[in-house]
Amino acid sequence: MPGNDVDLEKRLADQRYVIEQQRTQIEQLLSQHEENGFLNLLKQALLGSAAAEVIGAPSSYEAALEAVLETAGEVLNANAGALFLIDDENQELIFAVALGEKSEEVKEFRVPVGQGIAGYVAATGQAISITDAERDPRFDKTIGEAIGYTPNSILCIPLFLNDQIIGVLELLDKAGGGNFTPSDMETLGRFGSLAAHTIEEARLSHDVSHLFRQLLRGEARPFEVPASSLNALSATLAIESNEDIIELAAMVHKICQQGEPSRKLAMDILGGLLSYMDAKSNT
Amino acid sequence: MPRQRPAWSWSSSSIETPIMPSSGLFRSINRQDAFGGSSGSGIKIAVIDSGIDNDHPAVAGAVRGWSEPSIKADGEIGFIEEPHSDLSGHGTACAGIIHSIAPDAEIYSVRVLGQRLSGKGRVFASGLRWAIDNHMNVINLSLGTSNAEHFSRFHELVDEAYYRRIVLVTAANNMPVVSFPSLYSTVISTACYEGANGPDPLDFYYNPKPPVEFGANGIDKEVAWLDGRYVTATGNSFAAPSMTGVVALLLSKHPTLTPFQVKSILSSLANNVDVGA
Repeated sequence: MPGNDVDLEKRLADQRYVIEQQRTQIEQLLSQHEENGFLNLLKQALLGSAAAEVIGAPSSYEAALEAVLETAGEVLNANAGALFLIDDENQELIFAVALGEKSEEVKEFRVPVGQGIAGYVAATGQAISITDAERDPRFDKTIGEAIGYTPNSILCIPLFLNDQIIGVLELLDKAGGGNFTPSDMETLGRFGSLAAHTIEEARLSHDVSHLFRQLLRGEARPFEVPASSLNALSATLAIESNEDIIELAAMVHKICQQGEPSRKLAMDILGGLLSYMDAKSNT
Repeated sequence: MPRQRPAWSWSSSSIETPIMPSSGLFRSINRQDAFGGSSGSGIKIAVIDSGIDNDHPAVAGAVRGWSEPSIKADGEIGFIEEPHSDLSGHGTACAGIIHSIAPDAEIYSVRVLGQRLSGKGRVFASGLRWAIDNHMNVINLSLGTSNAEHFSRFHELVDEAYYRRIVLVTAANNMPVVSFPSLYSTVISTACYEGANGPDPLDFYYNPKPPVEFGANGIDKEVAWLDGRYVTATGNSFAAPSMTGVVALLLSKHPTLTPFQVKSILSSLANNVDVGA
């Protein structure tokens, strides 16, 4: 993210390494879970996040979050659920994605950390499963109302990225009326570890994507962008030096400023070049 | 620190219950002599959590003291020792479980979970500091931290408790992450275990593959919650208070036991330890 001093390049490399490890873990998970479909579901979620690295896909971050929640819900047969991310500055949980009839209405909804089940899980890092939640009308009322109903059973886990909790994954009501089992908790716990890395990977890609678009539009001047961000962008595009990427962005920006004919000509030339490179690589 | 070692080392499934041979040295130890007839009287138990609803029927006024550490404006830690409520229901659940096993034990509510995460680790450590300084016999920690910054601070506190003969019972994290104090060797690290879900609340198991050393009842357990109500809950958070209750019974009957003696006795009395003929 521009202005952020964090070494994005190193973190991206770390995250790619983790993704590779995750693929190995998935193979191990398959042998631990009775449902053969579990492997494919996890693979889809993770490969989806890997695909989200593609520059110029502004919706990739949200898509990755949705994939994480939908995968978790599908694997454990949950009727509804929510993925919260922690807002460190305000110490709140933000509804990032929700499953359920009113999922669109709950976005940007905030829950104080420390309160309710999701808040407790975020504060303590302990996973909890609750049955008969409706016996307490105050129980997770916020989430229940937001998503459209009061849940009967809840399975809630923290999302750890290394030693930090970045969010909370909460599934509501198992399809068919059964309870979430300890085995479900273990499965979701293992999935949560993968999910947290997936989310972080998508977030970093989103940040790099945002920076690239800013450079192309001339909204960000290269000397204003931290070297770490440029390094990350160069790594993502497999370009060897920051000077090259700055020059490339500057050229595209200048061409676009010449007007529509120039912009179209540049696109035709670049498109032709890409087609030629694709054809060459396939021979 | 061991970053890659899984905190979760205890499967909740009873499919592979390991039967542990008992050393001949411990065969004379039995449950009746250890805690038979004990009610936990004379034992002080700190529950470091989200607060306790002392009016809940499951707790029945067992809370005898309160403490809430917080960071003051000058950055120092202050303690409010007025009665407080439970913010989430979790602390009341833990206290209710303890009270059901050791009804005469005195419970002290140490509330370290507020609405904000900032300073959580420091506040959490201060709550533990308070419990040690106020001469608790047992401390229940159904929470932990995975933040490596606090590793040394908690290690020092846990060692100090150990040398002061204070038994710490901790819930292992349900997630495959490093979490402490549950990973320290001197604590009684507990996870929920399906085999311990029988009618006897004193059932518990010993795990031969630490760091989680004990498995207790914490699956689909009816626990006290907010507003005098109950919910059915699953989690290691609810297994640890069961072990806390057992430790209270043991210490009440044998008050001079040290933490390492307590752990040895518990491992000898575990349901899956074969005492032989």
